[in-house]
Amino acid sequence: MSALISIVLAVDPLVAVEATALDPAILDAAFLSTLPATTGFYLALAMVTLVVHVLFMNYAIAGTLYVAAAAVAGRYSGRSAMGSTGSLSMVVRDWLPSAVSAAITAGIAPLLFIQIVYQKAFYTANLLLFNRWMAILPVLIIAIYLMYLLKAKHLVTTRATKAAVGVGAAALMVYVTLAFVENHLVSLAPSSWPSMYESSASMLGSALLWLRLGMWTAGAFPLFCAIAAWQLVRGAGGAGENECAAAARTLARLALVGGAISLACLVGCAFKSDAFAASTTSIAGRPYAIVACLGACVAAGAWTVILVRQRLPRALVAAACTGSLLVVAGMTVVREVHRLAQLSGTDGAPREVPFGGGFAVFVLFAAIGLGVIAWIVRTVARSLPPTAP
Amino acid sequence: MAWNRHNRSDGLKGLVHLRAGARGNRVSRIGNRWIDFHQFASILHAIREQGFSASSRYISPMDASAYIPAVYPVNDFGPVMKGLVIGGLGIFHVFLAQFAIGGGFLIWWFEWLGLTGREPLADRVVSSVFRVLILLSFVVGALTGVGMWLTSIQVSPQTIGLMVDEFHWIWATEWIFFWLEMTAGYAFFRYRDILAPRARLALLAIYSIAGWGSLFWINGILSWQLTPGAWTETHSVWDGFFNPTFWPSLLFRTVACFVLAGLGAAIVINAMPGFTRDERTRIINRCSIFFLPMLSMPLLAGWFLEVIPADSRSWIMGGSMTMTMFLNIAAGASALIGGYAVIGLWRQRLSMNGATATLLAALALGATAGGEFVREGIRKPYTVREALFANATTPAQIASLRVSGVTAHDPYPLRNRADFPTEQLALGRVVYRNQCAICHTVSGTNGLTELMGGWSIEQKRLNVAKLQWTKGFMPPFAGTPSELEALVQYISWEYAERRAGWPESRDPAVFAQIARWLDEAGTAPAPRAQELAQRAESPR
Ligand code: HEM
Repeated sequence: MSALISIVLAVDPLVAVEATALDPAILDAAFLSTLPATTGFYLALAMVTLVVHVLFMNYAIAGTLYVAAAAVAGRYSGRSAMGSTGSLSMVVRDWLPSAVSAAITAGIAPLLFIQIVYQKAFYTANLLLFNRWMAILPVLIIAIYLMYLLKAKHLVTTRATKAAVGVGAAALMVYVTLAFVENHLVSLAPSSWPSMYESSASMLGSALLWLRLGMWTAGAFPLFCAIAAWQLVRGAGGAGENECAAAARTLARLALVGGAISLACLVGCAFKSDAFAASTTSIAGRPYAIVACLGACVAAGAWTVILVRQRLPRALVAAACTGSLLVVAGMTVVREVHRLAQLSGTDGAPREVPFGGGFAVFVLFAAIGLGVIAWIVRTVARSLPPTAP
Repeated sequence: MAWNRHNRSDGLKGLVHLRAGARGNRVSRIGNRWIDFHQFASILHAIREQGFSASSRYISPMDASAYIPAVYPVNDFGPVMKGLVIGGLGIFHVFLAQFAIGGGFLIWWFEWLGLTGREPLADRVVSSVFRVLILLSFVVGALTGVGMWLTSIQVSPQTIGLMVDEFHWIWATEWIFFWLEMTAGYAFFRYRDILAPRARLALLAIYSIAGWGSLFWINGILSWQLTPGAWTETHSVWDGFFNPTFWPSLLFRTVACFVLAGLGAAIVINAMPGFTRDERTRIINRCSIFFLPMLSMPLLAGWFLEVIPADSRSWIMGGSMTMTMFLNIAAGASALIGGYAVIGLWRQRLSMNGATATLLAALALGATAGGEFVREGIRKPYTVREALFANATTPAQIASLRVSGVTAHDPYPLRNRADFPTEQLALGRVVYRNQCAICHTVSGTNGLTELMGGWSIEQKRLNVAKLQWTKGFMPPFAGTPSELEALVQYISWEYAERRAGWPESRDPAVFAQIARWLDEAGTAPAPRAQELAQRAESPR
């Protein structure tokens, strides 16, 4: 405990550099208005695609943690016979590998656009983290195979092995989250890059890192719960009204507690990092912070009603989903205001890039691709057996 | 507000823009050509007079990216050459990805055989092979793909940065194809049993075409690195994309996809329980149609060799022992697979048991490894031909770095500075890190102490100063005479196992001699310089 307190109180290696001052020109103007048009366009694309990434990634992080906890608690397999957690965990387990695949595929687009806008900062952070960063690849491969193992009823049979596999997969997913958080924070500290390189130091002593990790990990639950509720309502895994009712309370509790912890960590981040606090309340960040607050209120309201009623009415599930998406979208912009203000004028400043060739072809194939994906979804949906009303 | 001004074509073509204070206000411009060293030095002098700083602030009077490479921290991979890391991962990824692409078509074909009643066992083949495909390609295949990207950043951030700058919309288009592949693949995997036959076939068609489409897009970017073609002049994405090696390498890789799918299916079918020997033979013989396109491989390889640059061709035709050997491995392994599969299976005289299929797949891995090694190797001394050298400098930057020095722009201190007894040795290590570490280690794979430790000190100075002439696949040295001398001292000190009391070398005559050699060597790469010399000699 005392170690934890000393981490929180100590001079933070990632915060110390913030003295380099934020760029007021960014904070005092509407978001994106200060950037050259092409840079703004690429950054906007990076954010839109990041929101899609976060959607799947939240399901992957919170879903794995939930399945691990259910496995440890012994409420793992089967359907209604095992009570509420049984049915929910079965649906989540079934969809986890696909959700992680989708998170990875979705991650490629922001990875591309971030490299255009923040090439130097992103690459330098990757290089400074080196092995810790590159480890996410084998870690993700092992995590996904563990998730497939969780689905293989004949291979993983005892409670202990189920718990071990579940906890293993969850720990690996938390590691990946930690790596992304550390990468982001290191990219925000250009003046420390040479000293970080010289000492090969990790940022694990940074309270900001752990608070941010807590924010992302706990913050993954509200959206995960909303998507999982949606799946149950739509009859995934054969869930009927009983399963929905049984899962309602678990989901509502998880979402509310996860949201509250995430909020606490966010406040902690704001206390630790003046830059983060200033960006959130700045002219550029404020409107989006308000959108996020409104979203949080809508989601919290919806989950509270669900908790009281112990049912999953579609309207409330839709409200919870919309609310969480507003939080993710709003905070994505606030996150970017912070990065822009902090990196402006430094070695990691965003670049003014010429507009690349081939955009028309991209738009054409994006339209065709969306059409084909819509066709696939429709075809599958039409083939599914009808769900109970 | 301040941001990094990025001027792509300047850095690449050797254009120099001078900006006086205000944004975009050009004072002078030197045309699209190789910059004369002395001219450049005087320009640099002029810029310095105007108060140039290498800062990335937009208000800088000069676009720094034109002649100063972006400097990144360099990681030490120990005894492992960086090329081996990216190459090793690349081989693995290409092998898996090609199996997945060909596998899509193979499964589509079996699904069709089953639906039309031509093959009663098709259903079982489809479900088994597709399960393997999903488990392999959607996990290891996808993550090694992301891994290629992240490893490229570790090995040469400048190269991947340039590729992203030029081709991001192509990559974004490829990303659409990833989504298509994933959506169709999972939809088929999860819902095959409840889907109508036509829908199943359609999903497999989408999956296969999307997989091949991703090959189509990435092939344009990778082949551009070797043969940028008209892009060098026009900087048009499509000139770069449909470059001279685009079609031969696309077709060659497509054939490889089919072959790997056939071999992979043969392994899976042999591993599946419940088939009689005759059934296995029949199914594997059906797969053999996927080996037939191999007949076109010699032709496609010939086409590829025909259109690559002459110097690249010369490396694999005996100019470089290692590259020639790898080409032979690729050709030999392919010939063995082709001989066995095409002659034996297509004529339906042979069956292929699990061991044989695995052996042939191992040979195919060898062929992929040989092919990828050759592809990486023949680009040297460039990572993007005519635009970026292997050590992440542009041709224009070489000239400037000979004046300003390569270490002057590197803000990263040495990690273990205390191990270096003199400033000169420490400087030498920083030069090594910036100039050599991309392709060499100190004393591991392709180690410099091994390669040049035994040379006399004079030989070392001469050969490094004329690096591009020492070996044509090395770039010209990009640094000042004192940096070159520091490098030579550092390598000698490492060769002497870090002997104590190593003296600093300060003789002005030595620096003057190195400067003369650097001037004689010029700043153009050897093949380019040869080409220019030939052009100058040829009668008008
Ligand atoms: C499924 C496992 C993954 C998890 C749990 C995960 C988690 C995260 C988290 C927590 C962040 C936000 C970091 C922060 O703001 O501090 C993030 C951002 C991001 N992720 Fe993922 N991620 C995963 C996989 C991937 C993969 C495989 C890719 C690439 C293909 C990717 C691409 C990105 C990008 C580009 C960003 C934005 C980075 C930036 O803005 O600097 N993610 N991810």
